[in-house]
Amino acid sequence: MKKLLLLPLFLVLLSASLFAADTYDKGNQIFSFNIGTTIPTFTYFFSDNSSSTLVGPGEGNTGMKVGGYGGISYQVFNTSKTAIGGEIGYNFNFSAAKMLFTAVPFYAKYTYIPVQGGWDIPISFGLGGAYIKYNDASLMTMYANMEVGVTWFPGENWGFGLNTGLWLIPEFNYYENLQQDNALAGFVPITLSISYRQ
Amino acid sequence: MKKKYILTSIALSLLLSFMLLSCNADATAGLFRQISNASAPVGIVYKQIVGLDTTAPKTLYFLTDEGLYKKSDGSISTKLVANEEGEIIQTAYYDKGVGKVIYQTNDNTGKIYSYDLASNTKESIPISDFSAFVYVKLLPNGLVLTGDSSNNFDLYNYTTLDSAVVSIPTTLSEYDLGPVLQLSGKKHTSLSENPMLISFVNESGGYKHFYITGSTATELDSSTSGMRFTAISVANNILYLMELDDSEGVIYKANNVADAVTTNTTFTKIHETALTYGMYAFMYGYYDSANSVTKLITKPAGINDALYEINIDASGVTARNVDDGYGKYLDAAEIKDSYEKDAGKLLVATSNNGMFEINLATNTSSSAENYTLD
Repeated sequence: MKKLLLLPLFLVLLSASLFAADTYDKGNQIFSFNIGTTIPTFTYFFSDNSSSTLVGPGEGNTGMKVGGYGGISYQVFNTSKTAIGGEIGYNFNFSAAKMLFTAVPFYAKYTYIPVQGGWDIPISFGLGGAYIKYNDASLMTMYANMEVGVTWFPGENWGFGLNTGLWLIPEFNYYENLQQDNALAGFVPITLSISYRQ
Repeated sequence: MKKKYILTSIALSLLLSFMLLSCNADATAGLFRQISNASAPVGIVYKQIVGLDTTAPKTLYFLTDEGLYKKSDGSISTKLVANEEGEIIQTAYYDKGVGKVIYQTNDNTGKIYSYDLASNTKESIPISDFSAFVYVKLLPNGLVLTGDSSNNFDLYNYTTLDSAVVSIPTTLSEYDLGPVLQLSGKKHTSLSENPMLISFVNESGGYKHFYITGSTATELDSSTSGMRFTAISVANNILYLMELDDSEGVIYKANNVADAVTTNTTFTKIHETALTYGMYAFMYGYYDSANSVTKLITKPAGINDALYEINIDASGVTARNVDDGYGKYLDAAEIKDSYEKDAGKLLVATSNNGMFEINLATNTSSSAENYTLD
């Protein structure tokens, strides 16, 4: 019952934040550490039948297990509600064969923060590259993501957040014999963050 | 406007860089394909399929990295001889006639040991002693390849040192022993049934190849002296050899029937696979009499390479990857050994993925460890 009462209270606070004066000004900065897990969501091979998209973690699906991610990001506000910056991180997932898949994404990040103050709700879009490696295969490829989160700032500067979203990592092979394996992989990250703003 | 131009240039440069950098040059398959094909290790690292006793209850003998095992129909596998430090079993031979599994360890003593199946005991006294030789290697067909200090090489039956079964006829003082090739799926069979090829190599990379059949060792034509063979196969009484040319497999066909290969037999190149093969490649020969097609089933070295089937008929040679049907589970596996139960019906043991039963006639494969002994 208490939980049911908390939800409207939370929504009221959010609504108030929406119409409250902006917390950030142009030039403010946010520095964040993120750590969490990544869930292999799908792998789609362009040359295969579209109905055979591999979905979910594990053998017979994407072949990857739930993994881990850590990253650092820096953003600076260009308006009171939007910030631009970048993030670099390290992601790993073990395959069903107990071999390691690694990805090092590095990307530019654009964030829109419609709700801000004690509670921030950042909605981010990232575009950049990723170095990915597994067994005898490794390549530099493109990387895109969309993330949404909620960050609680109990004080002026430090905040604690929870984020999720979708990563997209394509694989376009240069060599003809590998082009049948061109693919698009998707991951859902769930991360905790510690942010410092000023 | 200028800002837009700069941003577009940066984006295009990044895109171009990624396209150029996305070579994946050393990969045997696409990265995400490799991952999606990954399967969990079964916990058995096979080294050799030693033999199959088809008398009920049918029993399979095999080597793993842990030792010698047997598995009977309807029961779990039992360890017969455990590997120990300095006594790791290298090769074994199932001698059905005497009811023993004969094996050689890495103790470098030249002694051959045995396990008695009737009494279920590891016999403490070596069954034979080849310690007088510098080089001693038990083969899966029960023969022992020996070499002395003068580089004279012979094949003995493991039971006796009195007289060699086959002697390599040529002086090989400037040569070292090279690959010892037996037929995939038929390594356990006797020389009277199936041939083998023993190669010797000198310091400059020149080879002498000896085709061994029955009690005869025939040196192959000198045109093969520059070739490093990695697999041998006989199908429909035709001898096929796979040469490693810069690590890529090239298939040659003997111009005499296998039973009549002589020193003067020449070879014709029939197919270049353009695939990389290891030092001892899997190449199983099968003659599909219904369609008059000889099939050479090969497994390239890349752990993610599918089986590669070479079809030879009157109209020529064609080839295809087999990543479904009988090759469904073997495209992400390293084949360690195979055992022909019947023509076109094989047990295939892999390094980490378990054992499979494949059937070329029905184009089917069992899943890992779901093989039968029928």
